[in-house]
Amino acid sequence: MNAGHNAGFVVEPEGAVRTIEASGPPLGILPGARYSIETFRFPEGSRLLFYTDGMTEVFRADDEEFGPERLLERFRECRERDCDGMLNSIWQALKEFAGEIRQRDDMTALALHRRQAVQSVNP
Amino acid sequence: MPREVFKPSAPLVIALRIWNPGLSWGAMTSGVRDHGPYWITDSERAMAEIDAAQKGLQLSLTPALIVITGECGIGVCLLLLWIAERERRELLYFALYLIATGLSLVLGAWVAFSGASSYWYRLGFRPLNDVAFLFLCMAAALFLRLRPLRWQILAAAAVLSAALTFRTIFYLYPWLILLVWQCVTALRKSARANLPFALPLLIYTVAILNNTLDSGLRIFPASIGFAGTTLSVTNLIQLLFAGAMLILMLERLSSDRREKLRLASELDSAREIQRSLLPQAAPQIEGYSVGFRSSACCEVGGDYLDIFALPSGEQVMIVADVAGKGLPAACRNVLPIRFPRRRRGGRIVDRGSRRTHRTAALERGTGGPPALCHRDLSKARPRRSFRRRGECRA
Repeated sequence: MNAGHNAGFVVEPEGAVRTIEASGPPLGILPGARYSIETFRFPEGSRLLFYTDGMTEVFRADDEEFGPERLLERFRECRERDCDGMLNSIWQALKEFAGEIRQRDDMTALALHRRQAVQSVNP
Repeated sequence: MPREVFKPSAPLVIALRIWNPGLSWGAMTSGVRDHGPYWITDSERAMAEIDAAQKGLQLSLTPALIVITGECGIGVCLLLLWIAERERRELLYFALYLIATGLSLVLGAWVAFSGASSYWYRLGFRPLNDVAFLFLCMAAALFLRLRPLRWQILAAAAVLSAALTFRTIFYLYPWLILLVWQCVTALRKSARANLPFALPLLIYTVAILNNTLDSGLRIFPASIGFAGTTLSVTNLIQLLFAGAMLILMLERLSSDRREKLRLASELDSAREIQRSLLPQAAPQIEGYSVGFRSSACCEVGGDYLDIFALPSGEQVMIVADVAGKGLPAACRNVLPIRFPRRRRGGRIVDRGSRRTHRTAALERGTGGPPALCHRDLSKARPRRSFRRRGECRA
């Protein structure tokens, strides 16, 4: 369920990308707002990233924003098998992008990865 | 005039005017007039007068230099303090006041001792004093914790003062009226808190007022003799006033520093509390890898992240962002979010009244583990948004 937040990313093993869009405004904006819970397939090898806007609103010296496109691209390119490694890789990319520019917003991300089942080989 | 000009017994008669600064230093601000005295003398007497004048000049320079050095020194100290701290704008204004006053005294002394035309005195000394008092009025508003004076009032005082500058010695009166008004307002507001700043300011104002009055009307003399020199009482009070303000400002800065240290300590505690609210480790879910990371741009952050298991075994993962940054966002972040958290043993703990409709709604949710929740908390009316969690539905 996404309540007025940046769209979450789901990257499938084949590289297909699906976004989890907001199903309503941010909580507290409109009285009586309703939200829906979305259910989707999450096959083996899939990865999911939820993040706050501080991750995309990282700026470099020429005032260019990191943006959701770069974040998705970086997430897709992650070859790490565990989520901590993926997040480290993303944080490193953000740091390199910003250079000397100080972080302007809080950054939080949560990653989920469904591991590929190891197929047993019968002799 | 060089001594070589005068030769003993030369039949020279000259018209000579000597202003003896040893006698007139105390009234330097009002005593420089090109009206004499003049008299006709011969070369011997002229030499004697010049000797006396030079001696008087040397004696008079000493107190002048003390006042100028003191004022400019304190002004530079305050300016450096302001540059270092970049806080307390009254430091800047008061430093500019002192430096402008010091420069005006340098100019006044130069005019007096060099025998330059009093035109320079009116063109340089008085306008510099006008500028100095503009900054003093601006500083006083901050010293006395009053609302800053409107620019229209300051502009009107500046225009009036400028109009009086070339005509009378009462050119500082608009500024003096403003200063007295500020002191009275501050004392009426809080006599105890503002007296340390208001009292030196009022004494200084009275000293300047006294200096502009005729000698018969003065409350205290304009100058006093001391160790063979003449000291201006007004300049002396001015110096003491600057010193008093410096001490009071240092005390205020020290108080600010103590308050900052206390706040920093509290923010450290808040940061620790916030960190403790984050999951201590990612859950171990068969077939899945879970990771999270959070970094705040300020001492405390407005982002929220939580992972917990429902009684049904489903994992709930929440990423939330409160509008805004820093402490206000962090407060909204922590206060309304009261989800049940997992204990060490992995049991779900329902915190009684903290159990929300939202939790119940999540518990009813279907779908395989993990369930995900991604939300944005608005800064608007957090209490109401807390209630509305119950409106989330599957």
